[in-house]
Amino acid sequence: MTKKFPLYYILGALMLLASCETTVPLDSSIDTEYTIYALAVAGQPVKAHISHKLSISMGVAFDHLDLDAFTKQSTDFYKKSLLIDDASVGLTVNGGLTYEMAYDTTLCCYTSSYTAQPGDELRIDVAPQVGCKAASTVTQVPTFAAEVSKVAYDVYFDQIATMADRKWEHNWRDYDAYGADSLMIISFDFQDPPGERNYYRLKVRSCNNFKATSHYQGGDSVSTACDVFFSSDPLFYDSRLVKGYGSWSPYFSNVFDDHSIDGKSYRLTVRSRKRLEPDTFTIIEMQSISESLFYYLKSIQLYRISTDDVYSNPIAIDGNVDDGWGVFGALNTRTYIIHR
Amino acid sequence: MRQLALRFIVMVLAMLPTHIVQAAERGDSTSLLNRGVKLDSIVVYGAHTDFGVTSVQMSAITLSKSQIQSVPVFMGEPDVLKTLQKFPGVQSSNDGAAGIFVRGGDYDQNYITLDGSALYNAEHLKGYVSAINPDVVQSINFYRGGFPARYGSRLSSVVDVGIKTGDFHNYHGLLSVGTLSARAQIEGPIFKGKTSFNLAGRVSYFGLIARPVLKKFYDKPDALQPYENMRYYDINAKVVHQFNDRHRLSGVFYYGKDVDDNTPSSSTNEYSTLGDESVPFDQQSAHKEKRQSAMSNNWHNLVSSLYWTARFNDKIWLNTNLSFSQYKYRLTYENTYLNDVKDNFRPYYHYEESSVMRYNNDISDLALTADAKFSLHPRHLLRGGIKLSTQRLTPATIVDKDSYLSQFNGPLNYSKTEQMPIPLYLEDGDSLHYKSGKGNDVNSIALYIEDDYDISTHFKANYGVRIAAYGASGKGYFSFEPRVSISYMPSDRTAIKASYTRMAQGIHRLMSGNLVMPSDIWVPITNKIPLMTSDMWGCAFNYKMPGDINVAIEGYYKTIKNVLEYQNGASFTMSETRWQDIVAVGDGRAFGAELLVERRFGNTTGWLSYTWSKSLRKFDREGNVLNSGKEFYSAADRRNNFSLNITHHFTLSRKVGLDLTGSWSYQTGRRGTIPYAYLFGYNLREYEYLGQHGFEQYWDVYAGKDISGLLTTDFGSFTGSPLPIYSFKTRNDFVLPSTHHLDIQCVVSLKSRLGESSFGLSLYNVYNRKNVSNIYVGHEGSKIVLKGLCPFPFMPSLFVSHKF
Repeated sequence: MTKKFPLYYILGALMLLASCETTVPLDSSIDTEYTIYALAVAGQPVKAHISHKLSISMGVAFDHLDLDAFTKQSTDFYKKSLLIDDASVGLTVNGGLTYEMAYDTTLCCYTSSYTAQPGDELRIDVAPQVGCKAASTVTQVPTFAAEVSKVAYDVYFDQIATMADRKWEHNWRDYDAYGADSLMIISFDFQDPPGERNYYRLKVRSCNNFKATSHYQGGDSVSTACDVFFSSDPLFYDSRLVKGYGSWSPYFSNVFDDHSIDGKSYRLTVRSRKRLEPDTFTIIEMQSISESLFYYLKSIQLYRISTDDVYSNPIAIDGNVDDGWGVFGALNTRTYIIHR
Repeated sequence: MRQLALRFIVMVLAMLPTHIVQAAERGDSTSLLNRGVKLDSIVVYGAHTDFGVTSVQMSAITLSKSQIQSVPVFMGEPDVLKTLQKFPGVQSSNDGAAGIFVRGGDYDQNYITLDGSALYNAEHLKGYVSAINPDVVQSINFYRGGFPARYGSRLSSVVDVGIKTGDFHNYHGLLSVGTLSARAQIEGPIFKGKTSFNLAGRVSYFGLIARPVLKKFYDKPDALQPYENMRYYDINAKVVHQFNDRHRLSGVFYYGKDVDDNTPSSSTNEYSTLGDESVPFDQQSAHKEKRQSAMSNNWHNLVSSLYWTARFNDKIWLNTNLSFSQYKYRLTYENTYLNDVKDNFRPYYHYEESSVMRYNNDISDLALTADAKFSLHPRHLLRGGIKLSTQRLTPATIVDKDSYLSQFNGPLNYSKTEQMPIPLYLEDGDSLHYKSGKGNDVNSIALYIEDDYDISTHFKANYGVRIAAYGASGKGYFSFEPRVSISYMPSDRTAIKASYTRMAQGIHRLMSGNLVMPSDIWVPITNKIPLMTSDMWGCAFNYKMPGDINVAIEGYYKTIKNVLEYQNGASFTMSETRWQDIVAVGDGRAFGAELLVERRFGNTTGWLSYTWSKSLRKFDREGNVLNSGKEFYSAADRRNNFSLNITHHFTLSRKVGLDLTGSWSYQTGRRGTIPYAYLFGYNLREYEYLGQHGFEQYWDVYAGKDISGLLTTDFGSFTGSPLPIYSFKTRNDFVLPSTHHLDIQCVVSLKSRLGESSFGLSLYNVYNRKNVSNIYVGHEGSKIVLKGLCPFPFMPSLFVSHKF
């Protein structure tokens, strides 16, 4: 056919000279930026993980591994090659004293000698190194910890069949199917302070401690825990979470803000698993979190359910590091324990 | 001499009756000829509407057919929208694309009309050619600011395309063959002096020419797959019946269709490590995977209208238009997947899946408009009108998915294992048939009144108001839109202008910011998605230099409310949820400065245009937060946009002419979003059930011996395994390289008894700048890199046309 159309030859020869693809350069300056993941919890030392980041080209290479290999190898790779253990890291408290943060080889992070206090404005500065430019990040520890009060609960034992019929539970898979678990419905009050926007993360952790069988660590006492819970309260509704993650339900997020309850005393009802062993307890924490941590956790929750759809808008992991990546979050919390 | 000639024309027109002058203003030479006024020895250059020094209107241009045809563009195809892109305030979405983005607004904010009726998708060939056939264009008035009250329903621009009325007395036509398409146009009388027609059509053969050539020379032929089988055609028709000098009935019809059927692609992946001693026994396996996929992407546009133009006397005119527009978009994916696995514990595993996903987007728009003009006072020209319209928008997702699994877990060879698997045969099937989306109606009524007021010799004003009411999903929206433009002319060569306009818009086009595979879909306002509005302030300085060179410098500041964007991670392919739940509503602002230097008359004509602009978005409302509520650049943000176009006409002989055009354009690169960074993040510790892995459920549990570990609040730090993350810092923070290209076009015209023949050579991107249109993840040796697709390298093209 091409013989009949010499135009093809002309066009082809000209376009051969004009290669039609090119490599798009990535901004090389981003390779010199630190990644900082730091958390300030009221009453505890500030801790920070500091690492390098990579351009997309290195990351994509991991995609050729299967899930297990990817998880194992990427973590190893991260620890061996990206984690920085010799950075000069300073923590400045309320614009005044600066504390040097030391690297803890066990925790693989930098720890301050200073204990964070409610209302503190904390700033982390990472000094430049060869190949990395300076980065800094600021957070403020929430001034209050929402107190959980008027706690009430009911326990429904051994109702697996009923749960499978979804009589009570939106997502019955939240509960293991070994016949040993049950459902705990917990209600409690918390008071949201009026005024500026407050951000929360609710943690409901069901725990137990049992004398393990030979299958588990040779008969030692073993503690187990699960943080998954569910509530149909609209406070937890997040329209972006169109799919569940693990046993977290779709449209459910345990990270929320107070825009619909500003300044009110609010009663929440949640459903959690409750194990039957004798030494069981449930921890309830209504954590006040910083704005940056709120957006970070929200983006992580969205990211982990995202699919590899070329039409989708990519997901940005929110952060608050200047000239770098990551987040410096803060939280203030009180723990309420239901022993049973 | 030319000045004298122009004065002569003005004098002649001044002596003619008003309706003939109006016909001349419209460029309707046939009306003049009908009355024995033969002016064919004098060429009337330039604008039909003057938006220069003497006009109160700012931020507007009028584009003539000759300007459109002089600009060298893709494969020599004259293109209305690409010509507009070379003017201030207008930019393309990506290199070579015809879609326009005006003053920081999105694509949907442009009201493109054919004789007053809406055209929803003004693009062919995935946007590389505009859907407006230049052969039928009479003139184009383009407004990017200072909108008179008679225009509404979009925020950023109005592209008012006038379709040429056919000759009432003689037959004319045009045949043209180019590298991209063939075109034909014919016009003439149906009933001499009473009824005329103008009929034109285009058909492309891009795939036929380009496919075999492009396929050979691209590094990754797969990347070209979406482009290699594209074709389009369109038809324009206009019939006009003149009852008498005062009444005229016109019918306009446009139909355009784009077809893009991709060749199905398939891949097979087969490997085995069974019996390979170097692989641990429990990891030995044999895999066979087969995938097949096909995609088709088609759309069509229909515009039809019937309008009656009446001049009741020399002071009152009325134009009544009944129009129906339709846009249908179809995107279909078909996939099949087969997977067979064998290993030492699972001798048989077979999985097959087939799916068809259809994404449809339909718009139907029925409108009735009446526009009246009153010239009751020498200093006032009053206009008033009403528009009733009903639009139905139907974005729909249809998914059919079937899967079948059969497997046998049984004793194969467990002599090397300590634990014998339980023999198990499993068979499972799943079927998903899903349809989401329904028709959403938007009904609206708009009333306007405006006045062109010559206050004094030095001052002019155009002021008015447009009032619109919208009803959608049971909720009503009201829009009050004041418009003011004023002009001060200290001399007959200078004008200083200022304007304020408020605009409202009842539909949105959702655009993905994904640079790899951008997508878009039209959606209406609803009870949850509010009316989009904008306020724009502008000022201008116009100066008419000696030598007929017009200079215009403008500045603007625009705010936009209720602009719509996809949420992070969202796309129109998400079948799990309604589109309203995956979008965010926010605000925007845009500002910039523009320069236009233009010469319309003479042998050497052309223009220089430069725009500096910024366009930003902010989404910080409850439940609509993007980018942590911080402001970010919109996808339409382009800092610099420069264009220089010069055409010189050489008269080689009385019958032979040559037009040589050079055009150089520069644009800052397109913005978009791509996760270009790979890093490791953390989550706060959460013990959670993570689903099934193989046949066992497992929990992410704390299994420490010390129970106090569970009581410590999140251990005071981010813990757990680091999460590999692909991310970016800010939405639309990835900027593609700047684009620029020099294009040259040479057209030789020969006049003969049979008409006028033109032979053209167009050289696009003469110095072969690799301008990136889209990107994908590719390879360079063993390294993974971002590859840019440059569909428009140096492209020579030839075209021949004949007018008769």
